[in-house]
Amino acid sequence: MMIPLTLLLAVIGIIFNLSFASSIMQPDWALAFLLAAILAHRQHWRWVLPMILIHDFALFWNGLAIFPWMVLAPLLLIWSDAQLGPAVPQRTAILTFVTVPMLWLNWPAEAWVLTWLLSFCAWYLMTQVRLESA
Amino acid sequence: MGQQINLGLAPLISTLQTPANWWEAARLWFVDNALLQSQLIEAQRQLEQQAALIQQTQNLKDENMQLRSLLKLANVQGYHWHTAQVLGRSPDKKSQHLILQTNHAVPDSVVVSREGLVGLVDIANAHSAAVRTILDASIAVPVTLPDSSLAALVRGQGNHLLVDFVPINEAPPLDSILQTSGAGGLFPSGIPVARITRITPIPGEVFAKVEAEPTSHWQRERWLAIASRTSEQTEAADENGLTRLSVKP
Repeated sequence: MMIPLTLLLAVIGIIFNLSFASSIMQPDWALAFLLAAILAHRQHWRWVLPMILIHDFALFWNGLAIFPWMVLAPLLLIWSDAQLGPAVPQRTAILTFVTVPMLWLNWPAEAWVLTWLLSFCAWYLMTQVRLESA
Repeated sequence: MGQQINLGLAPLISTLQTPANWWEAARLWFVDNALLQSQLIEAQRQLEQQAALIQQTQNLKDENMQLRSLLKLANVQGYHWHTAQVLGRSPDKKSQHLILQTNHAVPDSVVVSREGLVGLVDIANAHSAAVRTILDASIAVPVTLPDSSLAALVRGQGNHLLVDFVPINEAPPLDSILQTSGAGGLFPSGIPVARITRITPIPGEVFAKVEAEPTSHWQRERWLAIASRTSEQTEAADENGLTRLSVKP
Protein backbone atom coordinates (compact mmCIF):
# COMPACT_ATOMS: atom_id res chain seq x y z
CA MET A 1 0.00 0.00 0.00
CA MET A 2 2.87 2.34 0.81
CA ILE A 3 4.43 2.03 -2.66
CA PRO A 4 1.38 3.10 -4.74
CA LEU A 5 0.56 5.84 -2.21
CA THR A 6 4.10 7.24 -2.39
CA LEU A 7 4.07 7.12 -6.19
CA LEU A 8 0.69 8.87 -6.26
CA LEU A 9 1.96 11.55 -3.88
CA ALA A 10 5.04 11.99 -6.07
CA VAL A 11 2.93 12.50 -9.21
CA ILE A 12 0.64 14.96 -7.42
CA GLY A 13 3.75 16.70 -6.08
CA ILE A 14 5.19 17.14 -9.58
CA ILE A 15 1.88 18.63 -10.77
CA PHE A 16 1.84 20.97 -7.74
CA ASN A 17 5.40 22.06 -8.47
CA LEU A 18 4.58 22.85 -12.10
CA SER A 19 1.23 24.51 -11.31
CA PHE A 20 2.16 26.86 -8.50
CA ALA A 21 5.88 27.43 -9.06
CA SER A 22 5.65 31.21 -8.94
CA SER A 23 2.67 31.55 -6.59
CA ILE A 24 3.78 29.87 -3.38
CA MET A 25 7.02 28.68 -1.85
CA GLN A 26 6.86 24.90 -1.87
CA PRO A 27 9.20 21.96 -1.44
CA ASP A 28 10.10 19.47 -4.13
CA TRP A 29 7.26 17.19 -3.04
CA ALA A 30 8.17 14.23 -5.22
CA LEU A 31 11.83 14.24 -4.20
CA ALA A 32 10.92 14.50 -0.52
CA PHE A 33 8.51 11.51 -0.58
CA LEU A 34 10.71 9.33 -2.79
CA LEU A 35 13.83 10.02 -0.77
CA ALA A 36 11.93 9.30 2.44
CA ALA A 37 10.82 5.97 0.97
CA ILE A 38 14.40 4.95 0.18
CA LEU A 39 15.64 6.06 3.60
CA ALA A 40 12.85 4.12 5.31
CA HIS A 41 13.75 0.95 3.43
CA ARG A 42 16.66 0.81 1.02
CA GLN A 43 15.09 -2.04 -1.01
CA HIS A 44 12.61 0.57 -2.29
CA TRP A 45 15.22 1.79 -4.79
CA ARG A 46 13.67 -0.49 -7.46
CA TRP A 47 10.63 1.75 -7.88
CA VAL A 48 12.02 4.99 -6.47
CA LEU A 49 14.75 5.39 -9.09
CA PRO A 50 12.46 5.17 -12.18
CA MET A 51 10.10 7.67 -10.55
CA ILE A 52 12.98 10.04 -9.82
CA LEU A 53 13.94 9.82 -13.48
CA ILE A 54 10.39 10.81 -14.46
CA HIS A 55 10.57 13.62 -11.86
CA ASP A 56 13.80 14.90 -13.42
CA PHE A 57 12.39 14.83 -16.94
CA ALA A 58 9.16 16.56 -15.88
CA LEU A 59 10.78 19.35 -13.86
CA PHE A 60 14.21 19.79 -15.47
CA TRP A 61 13.79 18.29 -18.98
CA ASN A 62 16.83 16.11 -18.48
CA GLY A 63 17.63 12.96 -16.55
CA LEU A 64 20.80 14.19 -14.90
CA ALA A 65 19.42 16.59 -12.31
CA ILE A 66 18.70 14.62 -9.13
CA PHE A 67 18.81 11.07 -10.53
CA PRO A 68 22.62 10.55 -10.36
CA TRP A 69 22.63 11.60 -6.70
CA MET A 70 19.65 9.43 -5.92
CA VAL A 71 21.43 6.44 -7.53
CA LEU A 72 24.20 6.90 -4.99
CA ALA A 73 21.78 6.95 -2.04
CA PRO A 74 21.13 3.15 -1.82
CA LEU A 75 24.82 2.44 -2.37
CA LEU A 76 25.76 4.83 0.42
CA LEU A 77 23.09 3.27 2.63
CA ILE A 78 24.50 -0.23 2.05
CA TRP A 79 28.02 0.99 2.72
CA SER A 80 27.17 3.02 5.83
CA ASP A 81 24.94 0.26 7.24
CA ALA A 82 27.80 -2.21 6.82
CA GLN A 83 30.43 0.12 8.26
CA LEU A 84 28.50 1.86 11.03
CA GLY A 85 25.23 -0.03 11.35
CA PRO A 86 21.77 1.38 10.54
CA ALA A 87 21.35 4.68 12.35
CA VAL A 88 19.81 8.11 11.99
CA PRO A 89 22.94 10.33 11.62
CA GLN A 90 24.29 8.74 8.43
CA ARG A 91 20.80 8.65 6.92
CA THR A 92 20.40 12.33 7.74
CA ALA A 93 23.70 13.01 5.98
CA ILE A 94 22.49 11.06 2.92
CA LEU A 95 19.23 13.04 3.01
CA THR A 96 21.26 16.26 2.89
CA PHE A 97 23.60 14.87 0.21
CA VAL A 98 20.73 14.04 -2.16
CA THR A 99 18.78 17.28 -1.63
CA VAL A 100 21.71 19.73 -1.85
CA PRO A 101 21.84 19.61 -5.71
CA MET A 102 18.50 21.47 -5.65
CA LEU A 103 20.52 24.59 -4.82
CA TRP A 104 22.74 24.12 -7.88
CA LEU A 105 19.62 23.64 -9.96
CA ASN A 106 18.55 27.20 -9.04
CA TRP A 107 15.83 26.24 -6.57
CA PRO A 108 15.33 28.82 -3.79
CA ALA A 109 17.10 27.96 -0.52
CA GLU A 110 13.74 28.05 1.29
CA ALA A 111 12.42 25.33 -1.03
CA TRP A 112 15.47 23.22 -0.20
CA VAL A 113 14.87 23.64 3.54
CA LEU A 114 11.18 22.73 3.10
CA THR A 115 12.13 19.65 1.06
CA TRP A 116 14.62 18.56 3.71
CA LEU A 117 12.08 18.96 6.52
CA LEU A 118 9.27 17.27 4.57
CA SER A 119 11.51 14.36 3.65
CA PHE A 120 12.66 13.99 7.26
CA CYS A 121 9.04 13.88 8.54
CA ALA A 122 7.92 11.52 5.75
CA TRP A 123 10.88 9.25 6.46
CA TYR A 124 9.87 9.09 10.15
CA LEU A 125 6.24 8.28 9.25
CA MET A 126 7.17 5.66 6.66
CA THR A 127 9.53 3.99 9.13
CA GLN A 128 6.73 3.88 11.71
CA VAL A 129 4.31 2.37 9.19
CA ARG A 130 6.89 -0.21 8.15
CA LEU A 131 7.65 -1.19 11.75
CA GLU A 132 3.94 -1.53 12.57
CA SER A 133 3.29 -3.73 9.54
CA ALA A 134 6.37 -5.91 10.21
CA MET B 1 11.00 13.42 -23.20
CA GLY B 2 10.59 15.96 -20.39
CA GLN B 3 8.64 18.21 -22.73
CA GLN B 4 6.25 15.36 -23.60
CA ILE B 5 5.77 14.55 -19.91
CA ASN B 6 4.95 18.23 -19.33
CA LEU B 7 2.39 18.22 -22.14
CA GLY B 8 0.90 15.00 -20.76
CA LEU B 9 0.58 16.61 -17.33
CA ALA B 10 -1.00 19.80 -18.74
CA PRO B 11 -4.65 18.59 -18.38
CA LEU B 12 -3.96 17.54 -14.76
CA ILE B 13 -2.38 20.92 -14.02
CA SER B 14 -5.40 22.61 -15.55
CA THR B 15 -7.72 20.47 -13.38
CA LEU B 16 -5.71 21.29 -10.27
CA GLN B 17 -6.02 25.00 -10.99
CA THR B 18 -9.80 24.79 -11.54
CA PRO B 19 -10.75 25.52 -7.88
CA ALA B 20 -8.48 28.59 -7.92
CA ASN B 21 -10.16 29.72 -11.14
CA TRP B 22 -13.61 29.17 -9.60
CA TRP B 23 -12.55 31.21 -6.57
CA GLU B 24 -11.37 34.01 -8.83
CA ALA B 25 -14.62 33.86 -10.83
CA ALA B 26 -16.70 33.96 -7.62
CA ARG B 27 -14.67 36.87 -6.28
CA LEU B 28 -15.21 38.80 -9.50
CA TRP B 29 -18.95 38.02 -9.39
CA PHE B 30 -19.23 39.72 -6.02
CA VAL B 31 -17.39 42.84 -7.08
CA ASP B 32 -19.46 45.95 -6.37
CA ASN B 33 -21.81 46.97 -9.21
CA ALA B 34 -20.77 50.59 -9.02
CA LEU B 35 -17.18 49.58 -9.48
CA LEU B 36 -18.13 47.45 -12.46
CA GLN B 37 -20.06 50.35 -13.94
CA SER B 38 -17.15 52.74 -13.58
CA GLN B 39 -14.85 50.11 -15.05
CA LEU B 40 -17.25 49.72 -17.99
CA ILE B 41 -17.28 53.46 -18.64
CA GLU B 42 -13.50 53.54 -18.44
CA ALA B 43 -13.25 50.53 -20.75
CA GLN B 44 -15.56 52.18 -23.27
CA ARG B 45 -13.44 55.31 -23.17
CA GLN B 46 -10.30 53.25 -23.71
CA LEU B 47 -11.99 51.34 -26.51
CA GLU B 48 -12.74 54.57 -28.33
CA GLN B 49 -9.14 55.69 -27.87
CA GLN B 50 -7.89 52.33 -29.12
CA ALA B 51 -10.16 52.49 -32.16
CA ALA B 52 -8.54 55.79 -33.05
CA LEU B 53 -5.10 54.32 -32.45
CA ILE B 54 -5.90 51.28 -34.60
CA GLN B 55 -6.94 53.58 -37.42
CA GLN B 56 -3.73 55.56 -36.98
CA THR B 57 -1.67 52.34 -36.88
CA GLN B 58 -3.34 51.09 -40.05
CA ASN B 59 -2.46 54.34 -41.82
CA LEU B 60 1.13 54.06 -40.61
CA LYS B 61 1.29 50.40 -41.73
CA ASP B 62 0.10 51.34 -45.21
CA GLU B 63 2.62 54.16 -45.34
CA ASN B 64 5.35 51.84 -44.05
CA MET B 65 4.56 49.26 -46.72
CA GLN B 66 4.71 51.93 -49.41
CA LEU B 67 8.06 53.18 -48.10
CA ARG B 68 9.42 49.62 -47.92
CA SER B 69 8.40 48.93 -51.48
CA LEU B 70 10.03 52.20 -52.57
CA LEU B 71 13.24 51.34 -50.68
CA LYS B 72 13.06 47.68 -51.81
CA LEU B 73 13.39 46.44 -48.22
CA ALA B 74 12.49 42.88 -47.23
CA ASN B 75 9.15 42.50 -45.52
CA VAL B 76 9.61 41.96 -41.81
CA GLN B 77 5.92 41.22 -41.33
CA GLY B 78 4.76 37.66 -41.63
CA TYR B 79 4.03 36.53 -38.08
CA HIS B 80 0.67 35.49 -36.70
CA TRP B 81 0.27 36.72 -33.13
CA HIS B 82 -1.79 34.88 -30.51
CA THR B 83 -2.13 35.07 -26.76
CA ALA B 84 -1.60 32.10 -24.48
CA GLN B 85 -2.19 31.52 -20.79
CA VAL B 86 0.70 30.26 -18.68
CA LEU B 87 -0.38 26.90 -17.26
CA GLY B 88 2.79 25.84 -15.49
CA ARG B 89 6.43 26.70 -14.92
CA SER B 90 9.53 24.81 -13.95
CA PRO B 91 10.07 25.38 -10.22
CA ASP B 92 13.60 26.78 -10.42
CA LYS B 93 14.07 30.42 -9.38
CA LYS B 94 13.98 31.80 -12.93
CA SER B 95 11.51 29.31 -14.47
CA GLN B 96 13.57 28.09 -17.41
CA HIS B 97 10.65 26.17 -18.91
CA LEU B 98 6.97 27.04 -19.27
CA ILE B 99 3.78 25.20 -20.19
CA LEU B 100 1.29 27.31 -22.14
CA GLN B 101 -2.38 26.66 -22.79
CA THR B 102 -2.79 27.37 -26.47
CA ASN B 103 -4.03 25.74 -29.61
CA HIS B 104 -2.11 27.96 -32.00
CA ALA B 105 1.48 27.11 -31.20
CA VAL B 106 3.81 25.16 -33.44
CA PRO B 107 7.43 24.25 -32.67
CA ASP B 108 9.81 27.21 -33.04
CA SER B 109 7.06 29.78 -32.50
CA VAL B 110 8.46 32.81 -30.69
CA VAL B 111 7.09 33.59 -27.20
CA VAL B 112 7.06 37.19 -26.07
CA SER B 113 5.88 39.08 -22.98
CA ARG B 114 5.02 42.75 -22.62
CA GLU B 115 8.66 43.45 -21.78
CA GLY B 116 10.48 41.40 -24.36
CA LEU B 117 11.51 38.00 -25.65
CA VAL B 118 10.69 34.97 -23.49
CA GLY B 119 11.73 31.97 -25.56
CA LEU B 120 10.74 29.42 -28.16
CA VAL B 121 8.02 26.78 -28.32
CA ASP B 122 9.83 23.47 -28.07
CA ILE B 123 6.95 21.08 -28.58
CA ALA B 124 3.20 21.56 -28.92
CA ASN B 125 0.02 19.56 -29.12
CA ALA B 126 -3.58 20.55 -29.79
CA HIS B 127 -4.09 22.30 -26.45
CA SER B 128 -0.75 23.12 -24.89
CA ALA B 129 2.86 23.92 -25.64
CA ALA B 130 6.15 23.49 -23.80
CA VAL B 131 8.39 26.55 -23.99
CA ARG B 132 12.15 26.73 -23.62
CA THR B 133 13.02 30.23 -22.34
CA ILE B 134 16.09 32.21 -23.33
CA LEU B 135 17.71 31.27 -20.00
CA ASP B 136 17.96 27.70 -21.27
CA ALA B 137 21.49 26.99 -22.44
CA SER B 138 20.29 25.46 -25.70
CA ILE B 139 18.95 28.72 -27.13
CA ALA B 140 21.12 31.37 -28.77
CA VAL B 141 19.51 34.60 -29.90
CA PRO B 142 21.17 36.90 -32.49
CA VAL B 143 21.00 40.43 -31.09
CA THR B 144 22.07 43.94 -31.89
CA LEU B 145 22.06 47.36 -30.30
CA PRO B 146 19.74 49.81 -32.09
CA ASP B 147 21.64 52.27 -34.29
CA SER B 148 24.89 50.34 -34.08
CA SER B 149 26.73 47.73 -36.11
CA LEU B 150 26.96 45.33 -33.17
CA ALA B 151 26.08 41.71 -34.05
CA ALA B 152 26.20 39.52 -30.97
CA LEU B 153 24.68 36.32 -29.67
CA VAL B 154 22.82 35.96 -26.37
CA ARG B 155 23.05 32.56 -24.67
CA GLY B 156 21.22 31.32 -21.59
CA GLN B 157 23.20 30.32 -18.51
CA GLY B 158 20.42 29.10 -16.23
CA ASN B 159 19.98 32.21 -14.12
CA HIS B 160 21.56 34.87 -16.31
CA LEU B 161 22.58 35.50 -19.93
CA LEU B 162 25.95 35.73 -21.65
CA VAL B 163 26.47 37.96 -24.67
CA ASP B 164 29.07 36.55 -27.06
CA PHE B 165 31.09 38.31 -29.74
CA VAL B 166 31.06 41.80 -28.25
CA PRO B 167 34.33 43.51 -29.23
CA ILE B 168 35.91 45.36 -26.30
CA ASN B 169 36.06 48.65 -28.22
CA GLU B 170 32.41 48.33 -29.28
CA ALA B 171 31.04 47.21 -25.92
CA PRO B 172 27.74 48.99 -25.23
CA PRO B 173 27.32 50.82 -21.90
CA LEU B 174 25.80 49.09 -18.88
CA ASP B 175 21.98 48.91 -18.80
CA SER B 176 21.83 48.99 -22.61
CA ILE B 177 18.96 46.98 -24.05
CA LEU B 178 19.89 44.48 -26.75
CA GLN B 179 17.26 43.65 -29.34
CA THR B 180 16.76 40.74 -31.70
CA SER B 181 18.55 41.44 -34.96
CA GLY B 182 16.41 39.13 -37.06
CA ALA B 183 19.50 37.26 -38.31
CA GLY B 184 18.81 33.60 -38.92
CA GLY B 185 15.15 34.22 -39.60
CA LEU B 186 13.91 32.56 -36.42
CA PHE B 187 13.20 35.62 -34.27
CA PRO B 188 11.49 38.77 -35.60
CA SER B 189 13.78 41.77 -35.38
CA GLY B 190 13.36 44.57 -32.84
CA ILE B 191 12.22 42.59 -29.79
CA PRO B 192 14.03 43.55 -26.55
CA VAL B 193 16.01 40.59 -25.25
CA ALA B 194 18.56 41.49 -22.59
CA ARG B 195 19.79 44.31 -20.38
CA ILE B 196 23.57 44.40 -19.95
CA THR B 197 24.62 44.06 -16.33
CA ARG B 198 28.38 43.52 -16.42
CA ILE B 199 31.22 43.95 -18.91
CA THR B 200 34.58 42.37 -18.14
CA PRO B 201 37.46 42.88 -20.57
CA ILE B 202 39.62 39.76 -20.85
CA PRO B 203 43.33 40.52 -21.39
CA GLY B 204 44.55 39.17 -24.72
CA GLU B 205 41.07 38.46 -26.05
CA VAL B 206 39.22 40.32 -28.79
CA PHE B 207 35.82 39.98 -27.18
CA ALA B 208 34.72 41.10 -23.73
CA LYS B 209 32.85 38.88 -21.31
CA VAL B 210 29.42 40.46 -21.18
CA GLU B 211 26.71 39.35 -18.77
CA ALA B 212 23.08 40.34 -19.06
CA GLU B 213 19.63 39.71 -17.64
CA PRO B 214 16.42 39.16 -19.60
CA THR B 215 14.30 42.26 -20.08
CA SER B 216 11.25 40.08 -19.73
CA HIS B 217 10.05 38.79 -16.34
CA TRP B 218 7.91 35.80 -17.17
CA GLN B 219 7.95 34.36 -13.64
CA ARG B 220 4.85 36.38 -12.76
CA GLU B 221 3.14 36.77 -16.14
CA ARG B 222 -0.17 34.94 -16.62
CA TRP B 223 -0.46 35.74 -20.31
CA LEU B 224 2.15 35.70 -23.03
CA ALA B 225 2.08 36.30 -26.78
CA ILE B 226 3.08 33.71 -29.35
CA ALA B 227 4.33 34.72 -32.79
CA SER B 228 4.12 31.95 -35.36
CA ARG B 229 5.72 32.40 -38.74
CA THR B 230 3.32 32.48 -41.66
CA SER B 231 3.66 29.62 -44.11
CA GLU B 232 5.05 31.93 -46.82
CA GLN B 233 7.80 33.12 -44.50
CA THR B 234 8.60 29.59 -43.37
CA GLU B 235 8.93 28.49 -46.97
CA ALA B 236 11.07 31.53 -47.78
CA ALA B 237 13.32 30.81 -44.79
CA ASP B 238 13.66 27.18 -45.85
CA GLU B 239 14.41 28.16 -49.44
CA ASN B 240 17.07 30.59 -48.27
CA GLY B 241 18.62 27.83 -46.23
CA LEU B 242 18.21 29.72 -42.97
CA THR B 243 19.05 27.50 -40.07
CA ARG B 244 17.72 27.70 -36.54
CA LEU B 245 20.25 28.88 -34.03
CA SER B 246 18.78 27.01 -31.13
CA VAL B 247 20.23 23.60 -30.43
CA LYS B 248 18.05 20.91 -28.98
CA PRO B 249 19.93 18.44 -26.78
